[in-house]
Amino acid sequence: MRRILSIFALGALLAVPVVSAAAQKDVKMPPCGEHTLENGLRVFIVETREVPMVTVRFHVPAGSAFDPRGKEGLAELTATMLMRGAGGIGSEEMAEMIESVGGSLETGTGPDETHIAGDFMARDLPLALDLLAKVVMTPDFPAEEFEREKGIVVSDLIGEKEDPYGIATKVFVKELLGDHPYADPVKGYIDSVEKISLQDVAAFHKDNFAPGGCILAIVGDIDAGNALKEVKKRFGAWSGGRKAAGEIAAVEPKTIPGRRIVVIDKPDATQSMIRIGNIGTDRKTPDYFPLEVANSMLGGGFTSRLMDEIRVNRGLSYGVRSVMNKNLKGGYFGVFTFTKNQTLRETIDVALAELGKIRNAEATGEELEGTERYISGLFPFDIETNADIAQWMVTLEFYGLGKGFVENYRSGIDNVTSADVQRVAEKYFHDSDNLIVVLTNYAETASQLEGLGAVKVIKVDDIR
Amino acid sequence: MRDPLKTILVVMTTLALTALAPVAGARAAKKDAARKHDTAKEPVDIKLDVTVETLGNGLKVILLEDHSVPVISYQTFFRVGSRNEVAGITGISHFMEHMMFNGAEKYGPKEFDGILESSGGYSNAFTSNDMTAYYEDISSDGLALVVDLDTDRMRSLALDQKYLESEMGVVMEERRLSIDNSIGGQMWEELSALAYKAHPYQWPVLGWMSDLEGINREDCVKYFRTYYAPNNAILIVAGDFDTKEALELIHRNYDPIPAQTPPAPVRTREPEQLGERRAEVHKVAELPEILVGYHGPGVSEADLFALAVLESILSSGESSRLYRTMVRDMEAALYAYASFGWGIDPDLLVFGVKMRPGHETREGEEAIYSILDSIAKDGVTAAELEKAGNSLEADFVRSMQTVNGKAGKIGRYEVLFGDYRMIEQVPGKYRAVTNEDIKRVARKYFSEKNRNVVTLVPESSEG
Repeated sequence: MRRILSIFALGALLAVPVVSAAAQKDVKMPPCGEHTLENGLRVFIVETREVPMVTVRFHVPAGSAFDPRGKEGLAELTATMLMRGAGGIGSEEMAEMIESVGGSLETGTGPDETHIAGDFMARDLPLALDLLAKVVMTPDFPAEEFEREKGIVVSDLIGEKEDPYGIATKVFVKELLGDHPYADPVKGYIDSVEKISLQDVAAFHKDNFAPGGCILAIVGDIDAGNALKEVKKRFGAWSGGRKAAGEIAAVEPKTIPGRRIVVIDKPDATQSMIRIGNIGTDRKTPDYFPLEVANSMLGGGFTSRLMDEIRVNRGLSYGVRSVMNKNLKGGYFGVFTFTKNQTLRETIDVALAELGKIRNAEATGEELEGTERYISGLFPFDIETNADIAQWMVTLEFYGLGKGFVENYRSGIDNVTSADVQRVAEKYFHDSDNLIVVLTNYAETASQLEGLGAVKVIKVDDIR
Repeated sequence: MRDPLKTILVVMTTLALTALAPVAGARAAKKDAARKHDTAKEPVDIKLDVTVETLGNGLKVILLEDHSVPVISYQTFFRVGSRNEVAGITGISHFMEHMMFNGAEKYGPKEFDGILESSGGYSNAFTSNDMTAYYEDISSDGLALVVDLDTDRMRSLALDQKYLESEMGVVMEERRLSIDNSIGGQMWEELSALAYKAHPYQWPVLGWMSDLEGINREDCVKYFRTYYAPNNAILIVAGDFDTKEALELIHRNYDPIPAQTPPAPVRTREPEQLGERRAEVHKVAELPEILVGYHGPGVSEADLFALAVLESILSSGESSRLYRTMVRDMEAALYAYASFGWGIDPDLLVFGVKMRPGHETREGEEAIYSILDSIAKDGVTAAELEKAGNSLEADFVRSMQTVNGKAGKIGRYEVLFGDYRMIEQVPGKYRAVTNEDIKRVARKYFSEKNRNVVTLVPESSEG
């Protein structure tokens, strides 16, 4: 049987139940066929034999960061519209074709990319590629479907206000990143989606969907040679180039002098949402591995510092994590948690104290090694399914992470020192110069927030 | 004590899950990418090449050797969930799930996660009405470690007072997050409380807040002794290990843990519902929403599979009846779904609809009834039946892609059906469902008398 991961290990069964870093087996990507069609489309094909299925993933290097100001949500709406009729196949017929064979094909949008991805029984690869080619190259964008889809998106945005977790994060990102395109939600705003026309959608597609820069990954129980033939048959004649889009500016890595507090007042909330953070960095940062370790140590698993202090020792929350959001041109760092209204301030103070500690002192060798083993140990689980592998193929290519990134991942982690962790903590985790967003019943918690910093209050109904 | 009847170990050169695609012909005749429903399909062939042994103390061990990735998933399922609770201690099953991570005799508080994570492992758990399950995912070298960690807590859970208190704070926050401050959570809690008058499925797995405030150490000690005994558990290991070695290791560590008096069976059965029940939830919200629940069959009843196929036809994907009707044709709903529970005791067949602005829940409710009436009368199309079979089968294969998924499925089926081998039969059972079956179950379960309706009445945030 073909293995997803190749193994090189002298792992004798250990007598004592201890797993040493040295015992962890090497991780390798499975052999991958890599091709560039004459039109520039990059194609990656991997054979696996675990389940009789195949994953397809088509990546377009244009996402919500390309949305024109005032028409936020355009990239996402364009992606959704791809499935609403293409190559003469109507929306309902397309759903029927996919679902009648137990397949799935869905679109998604991020700040930097749009993708169409799904999985099918392996025997249905030709069907999957037929549909993929149609939605990517020849979407029909029917007017009636467009109006219906807009209605759904607007309803969805209205419904989002019911989700405290989502609102807090949305306001946090907007307040932090301000005018940068990454500040705006991928789905856009109610007013901006209403302004989008069908012509905008067609133009976004025309400007951004072209073979150069796009990536197609196919992973599954298939014959690679045959799959490549099938790809060439459908995508070989695709032509056209991308319109030179204006370069997205890098997110300025400025710190916030002093602290800003933004309160979202939701009078019926019995639990407060907390977001604390600052500007982060981009996906290709040379600090990548130290940040993986530092972020995991601070707010990764069940034994991270934040989890230990906020959940385990004090029972203040069900969950807390720290997030390094890294896109092509930057991102943010944030601590995300929640607690009952009565313990809002205590929880904020504990989180801030932990941010201070990881900045101000080196971790012990024991904590460092434990964190590194945790990250390395879980890494194989990130490369287990066909979808995981397809995602990795696209990620490695799009961000230009280079060959061997996966193979070298564990040594990258192992080489991080306590000094590295402290250095990146000082650089990226701020305990005093930061933004704190709180969603809470402000009448009940206002007094707790005194002395923390300048407070701006927004009513939940006033959020764009 | 050791089981004298040692299982014969067959040396297996296996692929753990051999899920071969249907019939050779299907693969060959694949040129014209299926737009027709012309071929009667054979169900996907699933063989679980496992080794099963029940230890002397009653622990059932199921081992699935699979060397595709150098990892293992180590899962323990206990036959206990909120259905085993009584008024006053609702939520204790789920609370015990949390306490299992807070220290035992050998590995004290924080040490379970501390040692596991610093060894490159990950652990989590879940509790439902019917079961409580734990898993550790770790590289292959970690087997001996997880055996040691898991036997320690099964043998000697500490239930330290200090951690009981802080963990209860954690669980209360979980309740505030997923029920009290969540519209969906609140609606589902209300539906269960409305539909069940007698049976324990009436209360939330998370428990009522006042019970959480009252649960004490004594309650936990008693609960642990009864329900966390080896004779009430199933151990499943899937992944990259040697079966013979693993079994020896398991014997050595689990055999000394004594069996306990088996838990009392759950006696209460829900009496037949004699008329429609309705409830409202008034809450700050933007969009109206509705849940409609009917009492369905338990997993031991044959109707289960016809209902699963019907659920798929109603609710799976954009070509499903609910989506087509309510989201597309009427443009009245943001989403509409069906969720038919699989419970040891009869669970609910639930429909949920979130309306779009300007639409009332009445429209959603009427649409559900009209769809169900038409199916009871005219059934579904052959194409719909075939699609549901394919879709359920593909979902089934998807859920078996990882060692964690395989082990979890074995555990779940073992608890629900009393036999993991049901996994191998399920695809065939889906394929055997006929249009007559669909009509019959639609008539049998979806009656007005058997109906429970919860409506969300949105209030403005200004109060």
